[in-house]
Amino acid sequence: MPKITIDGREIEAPANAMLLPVALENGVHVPHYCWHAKLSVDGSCRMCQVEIEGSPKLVIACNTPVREGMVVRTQTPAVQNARRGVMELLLVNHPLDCPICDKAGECLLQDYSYAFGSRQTRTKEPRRKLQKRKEIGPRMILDQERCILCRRCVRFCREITHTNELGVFNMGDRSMLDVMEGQPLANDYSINTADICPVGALESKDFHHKLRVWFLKKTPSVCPSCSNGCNITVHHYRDRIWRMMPRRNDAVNESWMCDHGRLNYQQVGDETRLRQPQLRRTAKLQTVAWDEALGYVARTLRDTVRTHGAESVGVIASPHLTNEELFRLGQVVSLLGTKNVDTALVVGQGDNLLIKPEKAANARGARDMGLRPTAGGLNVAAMLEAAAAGKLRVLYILGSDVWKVADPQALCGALEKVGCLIVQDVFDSPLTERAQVVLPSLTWAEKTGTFTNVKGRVQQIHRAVAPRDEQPSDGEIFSRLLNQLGEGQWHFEATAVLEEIASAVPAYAGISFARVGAQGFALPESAGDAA
Amino acid sequence: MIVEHPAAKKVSPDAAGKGRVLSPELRARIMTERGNFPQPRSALLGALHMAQEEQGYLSRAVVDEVAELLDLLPIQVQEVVSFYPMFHDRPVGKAHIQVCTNIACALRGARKLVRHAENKLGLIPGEVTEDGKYSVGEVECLGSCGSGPVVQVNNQPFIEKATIEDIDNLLAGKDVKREAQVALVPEGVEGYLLPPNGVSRCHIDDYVATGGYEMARKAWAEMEPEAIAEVVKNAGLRGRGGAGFVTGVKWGFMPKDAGKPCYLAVNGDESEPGTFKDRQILERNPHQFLEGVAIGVRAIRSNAAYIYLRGEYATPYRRLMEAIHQAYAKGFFGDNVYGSGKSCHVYVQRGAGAYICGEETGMIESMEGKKGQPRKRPPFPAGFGLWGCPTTVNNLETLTHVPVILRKGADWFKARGTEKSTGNTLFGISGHVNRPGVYELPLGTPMREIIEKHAGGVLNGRPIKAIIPGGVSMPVLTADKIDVNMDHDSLQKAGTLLGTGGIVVMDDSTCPVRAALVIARFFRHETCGQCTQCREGTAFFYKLLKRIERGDGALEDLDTIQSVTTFMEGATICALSDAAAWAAGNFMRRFRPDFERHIHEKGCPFPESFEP
Repeated sequence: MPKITIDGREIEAPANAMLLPVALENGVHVPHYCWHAKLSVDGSCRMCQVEIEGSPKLVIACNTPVREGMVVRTQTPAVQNARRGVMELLLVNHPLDCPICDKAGECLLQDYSYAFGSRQTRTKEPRRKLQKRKEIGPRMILDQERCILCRRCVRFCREITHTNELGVFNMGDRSMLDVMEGQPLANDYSINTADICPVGALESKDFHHKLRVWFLKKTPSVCPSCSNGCNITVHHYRDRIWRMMPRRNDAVNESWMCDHGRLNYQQVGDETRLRQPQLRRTAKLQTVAWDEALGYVARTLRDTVRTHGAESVGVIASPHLTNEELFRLGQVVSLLGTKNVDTALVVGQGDNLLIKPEKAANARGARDMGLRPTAGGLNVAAMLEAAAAGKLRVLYILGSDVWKVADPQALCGALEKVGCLIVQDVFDSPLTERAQVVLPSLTWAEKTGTFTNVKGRVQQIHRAVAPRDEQPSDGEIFSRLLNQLGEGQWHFEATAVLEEIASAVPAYAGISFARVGAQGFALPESAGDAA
Repeated sequence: MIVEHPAAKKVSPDAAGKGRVLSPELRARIMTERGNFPQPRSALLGALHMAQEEQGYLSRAVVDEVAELLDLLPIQVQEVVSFYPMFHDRPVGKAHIQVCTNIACALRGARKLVRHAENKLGLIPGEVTEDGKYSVGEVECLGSCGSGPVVQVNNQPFIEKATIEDIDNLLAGKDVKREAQVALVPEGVEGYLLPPNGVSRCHIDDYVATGGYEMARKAWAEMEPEAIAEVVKNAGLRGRGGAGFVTGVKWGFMPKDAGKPCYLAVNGDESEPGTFKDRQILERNPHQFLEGVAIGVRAIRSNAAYIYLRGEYATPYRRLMEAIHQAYAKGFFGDNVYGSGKSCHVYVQRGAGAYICGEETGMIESMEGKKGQPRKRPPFPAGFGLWGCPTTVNNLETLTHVPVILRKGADWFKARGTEKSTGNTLFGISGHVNRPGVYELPLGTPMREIIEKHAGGVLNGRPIKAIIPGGVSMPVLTADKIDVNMDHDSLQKAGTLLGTGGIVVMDDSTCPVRAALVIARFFRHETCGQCTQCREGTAFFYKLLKRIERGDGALEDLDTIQSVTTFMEGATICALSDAAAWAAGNFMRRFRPDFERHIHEKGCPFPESFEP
């Protein structure tokens, strides 16, 4: 471990490390454009020049290996002049259209101009004219004039997605970023290029001209779209999500997320969402109060178990619920005494990067919380068969994934025959059309809790958007059902439930929100996955 | 035109498969070319040259097909096509007339030729005549500064000392004279780079008759690599490509046991305006160079040399390939050379008009079939060069000295030149002199002697205004520095550098602002575009100088030039940025009164000056 000195401070650096990441990790902010922690070193923006004792010229920190005894200075007049130079020359051709640029407010060109640039412009020449607002893919727009040719995006498409859609064409000051005709930037990760673009050259169509970034509040969370559990930051304002961005976690998603996951937030603010419980007293569903709906559900479940036995009740859980909610649901199932419990999970295509075949954030958690058939219990298909045969009298379905995974005919047959269908979901669906009781669910964005990803990493989500009308979470619904079904005063508070999980589920022994932290907690490998 | 390598494994048109646009024969030639390199991509520039020759220009369909033949994506090919000035992605005239307008040609009236051709054809730059026959373009330095102005039609041999009459003849479909460059060993000088005056030693028998290839035999059959490097080091031979690094020491950087192949990469991309010497070696003495290559390969424990030759050099390329064929036929290259049991191969790649490919790592990138953008260092080529293998890059002239050093010994060599700048070199002299050309002289020869004696003095006996001593990358000198000696130390003391030894003389009619503008235009055109300061700074200088030249400058612009040079010097991946800053900065500082007159008088105060 070589010892180096940066601005008079002694720092121990990993052997073979480059200077720039060492400085950044130690809180010395050396400005940079082309360097990115997850991409190869490019060395062309020249913004990270620093002074090194004994070196006749300034060096770029991104491509200078640390060595024992190296003395680095990042604030000398020569360094300041170099930074001022890069800034002045980058701005010579920049369109300075910050008023209409999505990046304004989080733009490194703005920030570094302010911090290191000159206070006046000396250029009198007209600026370079190139294409603006060019659609380069289904989800991306390119502004060639704003591009500073750092090539982060080019390297991303070369090194991360291996799709090579972006290139720099021409030479010298005629250089421009572009795609080839007929080869759009359409890979599954294309919007990451907007994140890593240090300026406003690459913009996500979805966020284009939507909101000034300085209004956004940021809540760390986990992407709900598949079992990879990419760490994200939810950007929201006035209880609405405006965009989602990846949050770096080297054990999970590096600095990336897929486009599908990133854009999969529309349901949260959808106006057609279910907001009130509904009960079918006559032919039509009618809005009722929560107490009435939950009272009806509890009564039906209790009476059915009493009259027809626990095996006449089936529960199909949702892998979109948190561990804490699923744990409570498991308690409901235990109290009812039925072994007929399973989770409906959509399995689709995965890739070698981030996208996993399990299309839910908490499939592993559902298995870990015991929401799967135990000995003698029925799985999803068997439950539907039993219902169709008139053997299952109550079916309690969480979410609507069963609609995507079950054989449609079997499902319709089952739903026709089942005595009472209870559906708990975010939206209306063919399921709710057939339901006796409909209980509205909250989305992941309105909840706090944990998901366990496919590799057994427990990670936190946080409430980013407040639910409307004090709508209870699924966990609260289960707790209230428990209160009505049995004795005791059950509450739902995620922190406390996770403690219950820690003592009840062996693989989760010792877990807590503090231990999960911002980067997650890996379950011991011995815990295994029931899948 | 790409000449097939003598040892190439020929791919037949049948084996190359049917294409959509390219002829089966061409596909076969591309596949044959591909076989010359460890990586298919390295055949890209050659493939594009051939495809352009057949198709006229490189359409998207051609790009797709070439990509497929070389296992590339279309975008990888298109990036390369768009980078190199010699490649056209839209139609040009059947005869694409290119006039060099860089400094040496500009001083000799190149602008008049461009204007004449455009007027005569009724074209503006970039246009093609309606019948598709002609287009006119300006090019940066064609490497024939001593016979400017120079015109090249497509990839044909140059039309040197071109006149308006030549342009007329060209457009009338008549023959145009092709006058040769002057390249001489002056009387009293013991020349060894150029053959005796009036003699051409292109045929291998002529070269062998003078003892040629004897040193290559000795190097491969009798000498250890260290011993070769030692002799060359003792001789003090310094690289002739511009930086002047000691060749023997450079060879010593190569790992002894790399565990992978090592390569000698030969820089024949000569494109520094004012420099036109390497071409003379290939046109008149190619075998001595090739012998140097063979010795160099041995000295670094390699088995192959790759020569990168600038694409515009049609005649030198042809001569070199003929020489290589002859040398293979004699067994001087190939497997088991001189009974050593070792192989020694030599391949040639053609550039495509980008000056930056003369930078050693830009050249390596280009040889790998990429845009010629210099690599950041570390890693250095001696560890990670061509195809990721240890590589030494030597200039073409440098290697031509080597057989002579081995034959005559280090002491003989050191007796020429000065203590720290040993041996002869090929000085190119161009601009406003009576006998521009290449002269073989010892390093350290006084500049005055070269200008006044060998080049016959300044045109019309006018006084000198400015002298660029070693290619336009080197700081310009005022006339009073004419008594400097042309060696590394003396020129450094005079506030400049030897560079490639290409001297450009400007007489007192010359407007220094215009000269600076032409050079700034060159660097703006040739910067690869990676590093911020170089990409933007070179264009910044060009536009600013253009404004000053036009008469719209202000005094504070001169301070801006000075300040921007500090952003550009020593701040980028390669030295092109430094060169651009030195050029603009030194012209401005050393001719400041002329710049100020331009500003005060709102226009050019030199009525007789050349047109930029």
